[in-house]
Amino acid sequence: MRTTPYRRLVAWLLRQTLRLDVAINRLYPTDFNPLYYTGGLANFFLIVLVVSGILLLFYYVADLEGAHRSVAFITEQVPYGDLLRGVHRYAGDAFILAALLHLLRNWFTERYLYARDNPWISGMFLLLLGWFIGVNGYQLVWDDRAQAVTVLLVRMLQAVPLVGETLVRLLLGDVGVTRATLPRLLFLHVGTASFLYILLWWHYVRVRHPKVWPPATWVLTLLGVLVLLSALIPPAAGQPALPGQGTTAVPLDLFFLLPFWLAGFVPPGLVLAGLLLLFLLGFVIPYVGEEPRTDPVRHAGVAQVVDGNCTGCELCYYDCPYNAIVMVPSPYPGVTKAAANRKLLAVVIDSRCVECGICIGACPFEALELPKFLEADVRRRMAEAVAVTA
Amino acid sequence: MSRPLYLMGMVALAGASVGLAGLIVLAEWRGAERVGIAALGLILVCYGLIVLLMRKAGLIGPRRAEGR
Repeated sequence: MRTTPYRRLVAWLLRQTLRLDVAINRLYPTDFNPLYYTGGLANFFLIVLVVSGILLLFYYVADLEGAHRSVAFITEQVPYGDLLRGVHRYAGDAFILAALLHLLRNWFTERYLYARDNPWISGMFLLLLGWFIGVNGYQLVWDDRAQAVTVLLVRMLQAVPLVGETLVRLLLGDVGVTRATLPRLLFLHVGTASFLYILLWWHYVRVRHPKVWPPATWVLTLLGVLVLLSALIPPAAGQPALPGQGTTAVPLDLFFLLPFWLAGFVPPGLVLAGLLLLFLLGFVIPYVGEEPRTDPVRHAGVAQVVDGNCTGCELCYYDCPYNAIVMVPSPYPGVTKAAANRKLLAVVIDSRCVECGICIGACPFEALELPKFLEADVRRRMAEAVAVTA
Repeated sequence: MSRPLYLMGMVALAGASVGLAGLIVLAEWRGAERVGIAALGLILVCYGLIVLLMRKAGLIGPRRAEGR
């Protein structure tokens, strides 16, 4: 294996991640370890956001005069309206936090290499859009902070060569804030959130057993924490926005508004360029981390079906985490006694196989093999390992 | 920790939850909405911890025999 500084860094991060896993497994049963459910946690927060968002929509008024007033009405007049706002606000922060943890964990454990780049790339889009929806949510309050964010966002977009002005018109409905602005922002907030579910389908489509929901203990505890935070630190709304006046200073917010806070110190165009560069780097991570396929343990070749032994039992089909095995009607009977009357035959889709060997373990009929790492090799390596430790 | 301790923890948390439910009623009566919301949040946290203790005691989960 190459030992580039990048590979050494990832190997070190992997060791720390596993140490953290072990430490948390001492506190919680392994099936309750929250680090195994970071994606499920993000999904849970997304559901909380959708449900609380739908309830908020009943009261929200998307126009320049009514937006801030309707937010104040929700907070002060609607029964438990401040709870609803608080839960929506903090669930947004928690979604980004869980998604970032999910990203880092999959990065450190290298679950993005080869055929597994699909969830990684779709995940980058999910994170990008999730962040954009959050920024959009801040704008909908239409207070002085929303105004500052909108001004800075316009400046960022204006810095984009050739299409900058068009992007601003698409966002605001004109070159400046008009009556069309808030309905557009609301449409972007709700419409993009709906689009997240299409991206989630893409995210899950190649994963057979995605952990889409965290254990009940975490659902209840984290929902409780969101409610508690809403009571203790209710989300504030500033003064109503006054287009043409006010400041462009944005308070520091780690989850959504960090780039806008930075735009107070460096040109907004540069901040946008940095943001885009960060995401582009994210997109190429699966490809810079690939190793040459020389190590037979890590690169054992795409799994192959031993045709005569396959009984069509579907165990490998259910166990493959990457949907790389499909069952097709068997065109002819198998060779062994167990396979003689089979109805189905397993077929490996090469492009999806990550050469993990799970199907080999799943098959009790020795009907699958990794061509560069045969069972005899496994036995030999185990014997060598036992001899070394004995 | 032993199973009786987990069971005692569950009973204590269930008792605390009943007390917090009372606090919600009281807060509604007094018009202290935020206190009621905080109590609701704490009840959910208590329920989450009860589920965790149930799992640790082996009453739920894939390996119930561990608790016996």
